[in-house]
Amino acid sequence: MTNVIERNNVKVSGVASGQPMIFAHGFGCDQQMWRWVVPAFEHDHHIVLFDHVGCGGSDASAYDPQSYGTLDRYAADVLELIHELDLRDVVFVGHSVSSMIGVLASIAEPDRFAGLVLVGPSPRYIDDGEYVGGFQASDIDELLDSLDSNYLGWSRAMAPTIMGNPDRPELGEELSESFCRVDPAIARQFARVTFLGDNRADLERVTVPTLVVQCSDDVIAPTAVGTYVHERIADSALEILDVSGHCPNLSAPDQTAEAIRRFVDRSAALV
Amino acid sequence: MTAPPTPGGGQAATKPKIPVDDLARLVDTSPMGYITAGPDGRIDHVNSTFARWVGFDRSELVGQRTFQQLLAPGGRIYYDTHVRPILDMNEEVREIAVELVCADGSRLPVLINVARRVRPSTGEAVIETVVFDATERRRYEQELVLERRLAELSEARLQFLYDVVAGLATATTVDEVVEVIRTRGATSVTGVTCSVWLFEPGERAAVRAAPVTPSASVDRIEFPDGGAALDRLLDGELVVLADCEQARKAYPLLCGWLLEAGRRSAVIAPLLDGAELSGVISYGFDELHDFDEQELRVVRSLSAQAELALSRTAALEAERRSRARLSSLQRFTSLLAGAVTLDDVIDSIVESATTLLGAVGVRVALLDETRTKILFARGGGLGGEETEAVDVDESTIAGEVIRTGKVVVRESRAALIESFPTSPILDEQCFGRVVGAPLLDGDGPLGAWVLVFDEEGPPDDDDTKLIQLFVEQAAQAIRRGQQFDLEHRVAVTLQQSLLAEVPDAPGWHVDTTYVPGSDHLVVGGDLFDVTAFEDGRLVVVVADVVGHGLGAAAAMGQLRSAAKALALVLSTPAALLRGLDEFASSTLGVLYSSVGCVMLDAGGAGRYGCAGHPHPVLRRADGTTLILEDGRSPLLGVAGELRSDAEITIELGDTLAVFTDGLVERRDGHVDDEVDRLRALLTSTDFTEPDGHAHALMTSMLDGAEPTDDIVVVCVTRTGDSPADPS
Repeated sequence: MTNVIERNNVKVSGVASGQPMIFAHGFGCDQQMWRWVVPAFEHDHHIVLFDHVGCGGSDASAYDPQSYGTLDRYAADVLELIHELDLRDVVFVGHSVSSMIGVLASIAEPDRFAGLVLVGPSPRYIDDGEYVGGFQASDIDELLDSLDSNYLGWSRAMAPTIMGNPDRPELGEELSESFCRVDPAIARQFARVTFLGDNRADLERVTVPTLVVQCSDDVIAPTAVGTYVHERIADSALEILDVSGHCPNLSAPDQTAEAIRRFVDRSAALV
Repeated sequence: MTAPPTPGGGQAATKPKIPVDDLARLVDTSPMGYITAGPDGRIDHVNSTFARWVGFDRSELVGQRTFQQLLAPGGRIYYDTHVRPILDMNEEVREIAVELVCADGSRLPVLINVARRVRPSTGEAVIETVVFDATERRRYEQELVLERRLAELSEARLQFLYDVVAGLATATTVDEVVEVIRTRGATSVTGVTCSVWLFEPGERAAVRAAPVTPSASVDRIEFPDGGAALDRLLDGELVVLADCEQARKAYPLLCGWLLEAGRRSAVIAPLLDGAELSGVISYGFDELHDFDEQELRVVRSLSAQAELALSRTAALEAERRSRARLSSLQRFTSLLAGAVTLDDVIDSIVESATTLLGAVGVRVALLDETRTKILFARGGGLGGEETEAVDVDESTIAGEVIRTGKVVVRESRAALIESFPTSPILDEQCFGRVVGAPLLDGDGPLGAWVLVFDEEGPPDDDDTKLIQLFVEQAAQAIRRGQQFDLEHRVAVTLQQSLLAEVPDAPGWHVDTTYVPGSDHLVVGGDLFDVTAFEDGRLVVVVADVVGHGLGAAAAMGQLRSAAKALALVLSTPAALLRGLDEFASSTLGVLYSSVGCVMLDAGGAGRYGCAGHPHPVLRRADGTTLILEDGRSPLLGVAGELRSDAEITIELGDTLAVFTDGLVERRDGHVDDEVDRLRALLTSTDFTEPDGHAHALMTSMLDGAEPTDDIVVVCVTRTGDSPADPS
């Protein structure tokens, strides 16, 4: 059994005595996607970044398709991390699928959490009767095909592109080696877990204060879905960012950080 | 610095001074699509090539759509989860394979290079996308992907089949076979759930042999008569459901269940046992799955292996079961053989129900003599604290069995309560199926044997047969036990009533004792009779009738009456024995009896004779002893006229001991030694003291051992000269 710190490539920064903030990346990337948001909190918070098993710099040998066949296992990893670092009053910031991972973790041990920030959350991607998730089951099949088609392009074409980044010296070679690189078989299984899941029933069980950060033009998690999440979680607020796409943490890091900051400060004021 | 990527080998690219118009025209008609978009993704320029490819008018694109909106849904997700994040962190992303959805709905596979630039004139970010037609390349790639997948699969499948065969080879039970198929089957292809379903005998429904997860929604599937799926399976064919939704028309029920369980593709493989379908293996996929021929070959091959393993283990299990049944029946028979009384028999039956038949609860229900009540016993015999009595007409499963003479089964506790709400068997805590089987002898029902098992549902045919065999044995044993109890009771009563009286004999002290043998089988053979006359004469007869039980007891009674009658009229033991010889020739059961007879007058003089009987022992007043070895003749009925007797004189204070062989015959000792011991005991006994000597002698001789045979001891002590002168 590998240690959670190594297994999940846990990186700690900021102020050790500050309120802990865990940033969890979504499907397709790794902890680097928070790199422009985290600096806004490093001066007064205890920052914890990690990679889900199978992603980024995690220990891929710890990945087992059976046990990581549901989000519960990912949530268990988060709780293990919290226990290992003995974190309390945690603000959990989850992007995309990690929103639901945070939801599950907070339901399991609400006492450890001071708040949840759900960036681009979706409890279910596939339409179901009245519920509009934005996708058909066949769309997800196509996504899996896209992942397959891009195995070749990925390995051959991406590496040189990422390595040559003259205008962004902050992206060192180490990062370019690993950023958003993932074992294709793991990516496929993670995609199934992410896009075929249904966590709608879990939303009402969330008891900690929650902020939903919604992009105004997000095809993966449309505004209707973000609103749905907000309506189902009792103590929640909804912030809509005037941003297109699914990754405001990359495309609009300042706005994202400001929204999170407002929530964190308000929560702190309440405490 | 707004120069777009140069088309490969641009013919005009010679010197720096190219007119902007030419460049624009080149870009517009180059064999690549070229799009620029604002930071929000909204298209602000497309070239003609791209517009032509996608079949939209330029005005339908510019300012109207984003590039992502032109992508097929899978690619759209991919773009937002992979391309844009990278683009946000880097300037370029290259050679991403996506599909464009054209105006007519057709799909165009393309490769895109995307770059993020800053327009120097305005400082705004601009997204440039260069699009290559990748139809050919995509086809080639797909083949490569397919081949790679096949190569991986081939290797994996070979290993998989090898693992399965190895696993099945060591399986010795059906459960183990199922476990091997289920667990290995689930690892054969990613995203597959494998279940094994076994048909219930004679039913067109299969039950999941081992649930995949405890919460599996369906654990029983039915194949109604004439179902298309069933026909295919019976022909040994696979039912391949690449899309359960579409296959719904052909296989409505099957697909209904699969969809309900969240499966979108599935394949069902038959498990045939000869021409019969013994079960199926199902492989379910929760996303659409294209089955290739090689995969289906693996599925067929797995089924064939499973069929072999199942028929082998089924045969093994059947043999194990039938051997176990035979041995349990043998154990039951030998247990019953050792049970003599009814209580013993009932205890054996109750014990065997749990140890040999695997029941968790049991009642032996027997009709009482009036045939109006049923006595229920659950160990400790009938009449014990655990016995309950119920009217035969009352609604009990035992009553139903007794009334109909047939096996009655209720498959669950609920079913039993519904039929027999007051049945005493309901006292048992938890149970499933209840089986009541009739205990019959030639004359009709004796009772019922009610067995409770912990599982529910109908009993196995073989189990029912075994119960019937047990019930036959049990009925015989019960009948025998009842017979024995009856005879034993009568015999003991009869004997004790006959032996009760010892007359007052003037001048003599007569002390007697009788003990029945502890072995139930030998009660009822020994007798004594003492006749005292007013003139002081005394006749003592001691006899041992051959046989046991009720017959021997009856013969003993007759012999005693005859001896009494003869003693009244005859004057010598030889004459009495001759008389009994005649009686024996005409009376069943008396033949071969041994008889000892002593006739004494008031003065102590007299004669004694022994027909095959142990010699009496005389103890003189001084303590010396003498064995009376004369007057011998054979057992009753075999001596002809040759009866003899011998003289004897008993002085005042002398004691004569007459007894049956039970007193001196020990299983582990020699008769002569025992007689010596008896003589020593007689010597040390003070016969001037009052009663109890005969019993004390018997007790001392037994020396703590149980009497294996009946024992009679008669001690005659001469206490007076003569009775009062009759004159």
